[in-house]
Amino acid sequence: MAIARDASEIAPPIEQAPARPTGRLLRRYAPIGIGIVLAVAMIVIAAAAPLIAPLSPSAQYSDAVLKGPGFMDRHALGTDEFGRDIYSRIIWGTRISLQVGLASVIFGFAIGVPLGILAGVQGGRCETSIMRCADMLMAFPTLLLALIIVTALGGTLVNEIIAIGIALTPNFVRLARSLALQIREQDYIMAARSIGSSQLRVMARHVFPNALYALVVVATLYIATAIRTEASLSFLGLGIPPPTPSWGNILSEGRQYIKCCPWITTFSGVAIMMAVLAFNLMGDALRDLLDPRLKGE
Amino acid sequence: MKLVKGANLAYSLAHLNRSPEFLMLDAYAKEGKPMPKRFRFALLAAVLAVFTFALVAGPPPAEAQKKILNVAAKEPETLDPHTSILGQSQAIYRWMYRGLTRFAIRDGKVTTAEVDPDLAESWTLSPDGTVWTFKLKKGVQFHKNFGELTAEDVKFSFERQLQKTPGTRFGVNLEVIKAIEVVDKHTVQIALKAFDPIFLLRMVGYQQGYIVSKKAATDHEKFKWNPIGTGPFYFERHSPREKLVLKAFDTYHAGRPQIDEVHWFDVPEDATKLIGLEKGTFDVLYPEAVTADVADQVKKMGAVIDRRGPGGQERFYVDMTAKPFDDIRVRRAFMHAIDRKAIKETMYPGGLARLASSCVPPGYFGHIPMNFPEHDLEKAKKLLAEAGHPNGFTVKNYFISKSFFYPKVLTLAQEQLRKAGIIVEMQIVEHATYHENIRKNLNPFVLYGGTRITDADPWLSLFFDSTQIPDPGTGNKGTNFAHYKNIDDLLKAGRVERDVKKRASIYAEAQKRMEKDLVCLPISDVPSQWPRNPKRVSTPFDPEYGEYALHYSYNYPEMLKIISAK
Repeated sequence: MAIARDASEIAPPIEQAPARPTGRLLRRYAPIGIGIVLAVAMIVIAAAAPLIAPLSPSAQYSDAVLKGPGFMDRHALGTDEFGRDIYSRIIWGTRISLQVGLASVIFGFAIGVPLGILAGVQGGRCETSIMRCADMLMAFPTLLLALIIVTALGGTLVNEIIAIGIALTPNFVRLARSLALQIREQDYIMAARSIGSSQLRVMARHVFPNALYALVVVATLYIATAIRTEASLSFLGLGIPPPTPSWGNILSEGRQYIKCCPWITTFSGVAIMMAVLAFNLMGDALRDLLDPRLKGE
Repeated sequence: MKLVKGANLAYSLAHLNRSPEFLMLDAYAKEGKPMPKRFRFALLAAVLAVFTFALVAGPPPAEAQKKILNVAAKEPETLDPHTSILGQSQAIYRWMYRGLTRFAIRDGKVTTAEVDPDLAESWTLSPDGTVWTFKLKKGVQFHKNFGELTAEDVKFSFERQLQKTPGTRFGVNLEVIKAIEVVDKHTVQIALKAFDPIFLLRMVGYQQGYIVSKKAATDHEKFKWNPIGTGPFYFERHSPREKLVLKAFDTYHAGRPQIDEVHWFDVPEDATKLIGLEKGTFDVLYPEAVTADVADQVKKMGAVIDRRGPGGQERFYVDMTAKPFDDIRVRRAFMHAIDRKAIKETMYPGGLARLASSCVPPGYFGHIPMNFPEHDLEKAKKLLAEAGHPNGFTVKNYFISKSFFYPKVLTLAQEQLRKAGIIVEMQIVEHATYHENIRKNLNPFVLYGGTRITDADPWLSLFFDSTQIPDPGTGNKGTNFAHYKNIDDLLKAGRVERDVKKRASIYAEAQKRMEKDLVCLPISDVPSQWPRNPKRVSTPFDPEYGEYALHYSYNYPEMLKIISAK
């Protein structure tokens, strides 16, 4: 029995065919493309809801209660228990989801990032106190924390934004702190300090801009989390009160008709899924593009 | 066979510690030696055998043969029958409690207008019509060996409500009583302040009429979940958020029910209830509302709906003291803005309910049809402008229950009111919180539904008598949400009037005044409806209004029968 002496005897070397540039580009940019298209579509739908929606989202048609979808009919995606047009409600619901998704992330970003950078750069008791507060908030799952806050404040759009924003804040604090800890050791920070830059200037002009890329990537991913949390709160009946349509409350109202009229839950569920998918794809793609460790892959 | 096998195994296990093998194992353990391989295998085999037996054997035969009725409902908040006004709690009381009288069965149907004896054997009325003497049936037992029903228990049951024991809600229905005297162990005399034409209806086992055990209910708090009555089923156990178990009361005075156990599951969602009915998990459902889709699904799965009159009336009370509704033009605008027919047809199309025709529902003594402002948005806007609200107004923080018909009816009305310029900002809350909040006068108009003794007097007394105006300052938790005071004189006159025709005309006049003052807008008269699997459970009464029931449940649950095994 012949024994192969080296690997070359076992199998001939396979020549690595260079990946075709179009395939590579497609693989690299398709997710971000899909993400951007979906996200832009959402923004356009939200902004142009009064023009796009064929009917008022709260108009009730007693002659068409729980009517099934008919793409050529007045109610393309069917109606709910009050005879309200599901298509129009989903279009208007985009506004709520996007408003809550973006505003709560901005809220969490605006509070969490400065605190995180302060903790990372300042260190000491300041860091300990900020991080312990963040840990306390992190002890609660995002949905649970948002639920507690909304219950305490009441279910309005602003309160929902605040609640989800607070629930997301500790995530930004932790990330900003860990980035600040890395950045503060860089030579350019030492150089800035040596020419007499104040702590605030170092944080604002040097640490923050250098941490921004990573923070933006994570913020994009948290938009998806915020949209999902909003839908969950509405589903639990703690979100925007009726008759304002939100995807979560359409889903919740349709739940009891899931057997006879599945279109209510299906279409609102698909809308939530598409929105979450859009921002997740965008976040992942941004990370791939901006992460220096993944450069050249 | 299974039982024999089980007995053998139990015998073997019981005698294991005396067997030579066990003694050898014990010796090994004492000496600290490892267990021999054959013992390890034997032990493993024994453990496996026990598990296999447990999995394969199933319930013991006696358990399997039990006639268990599975009910899907909402968990009651308490089992003290005098303390809850919630329909979900009312539904279960009739299974456990009884009153001195009961609704009569005439020509195979139950009527809510006449009574038959129940815990009382007979009664007499003094010539002046103010003293009732009830002879109790002898030998009627309370559940769980709490002894024989006596006149003391009857006295206690009514007095705890008259003395407004914390939590009791129906004392107002007994305020006609002046004194209760125990004549002997089985005779009780009830003196009234004045003649009461419907006193025997008040004594029906329903709300204020239920008789509880004095011995058990003296501790009011404990009694909430340790109920003792004389009904056909007794309370066995409660697993919160899961189920209550009731068991047949062997010594029930009218004969033991055929059903052995009732498993009362807490199933908040109607969709889940329906799936359970279709799959055979549940036999009877108490849904939140039987709307068209529920009725269709029940029909498709071959189940029936037991439809019972007179049912509940869903209606709006408009608080005539709350701004801006203190202006009659605003109240009229409110009523013009609401399209009652559209609400009724959306919620209960066709025969599922009737468009309400009066603030006193049909089927109640004294009912007459009333006229209400027709749906007219232009008139509504014009009236609002005249009242100083040309751009309408906003009702902030309007509370509404998340349960039953409440959020649905209000969502429908909200859109109609919006078109007239009345914006209602809704806050959805738990049902119990809703009941608390409307008694704190937090809503300027109140959506309410319910059923009462089928006579205009208790109905109007509860909802339109000035003594029932809720007031958080005094703790009055009455149900006159309109804060109405204009028919007090008529109600007083009606309570002492012995002539039937004159009584009817008094209540007709009351309805006319209410029509003029615009304090109540009834929407739908909805019968009580419970889907039932007819292949599993039978009732002697016709599904279509074979009985009239006020309990949100069957009048005679002991007459239900399990007709097939699962």
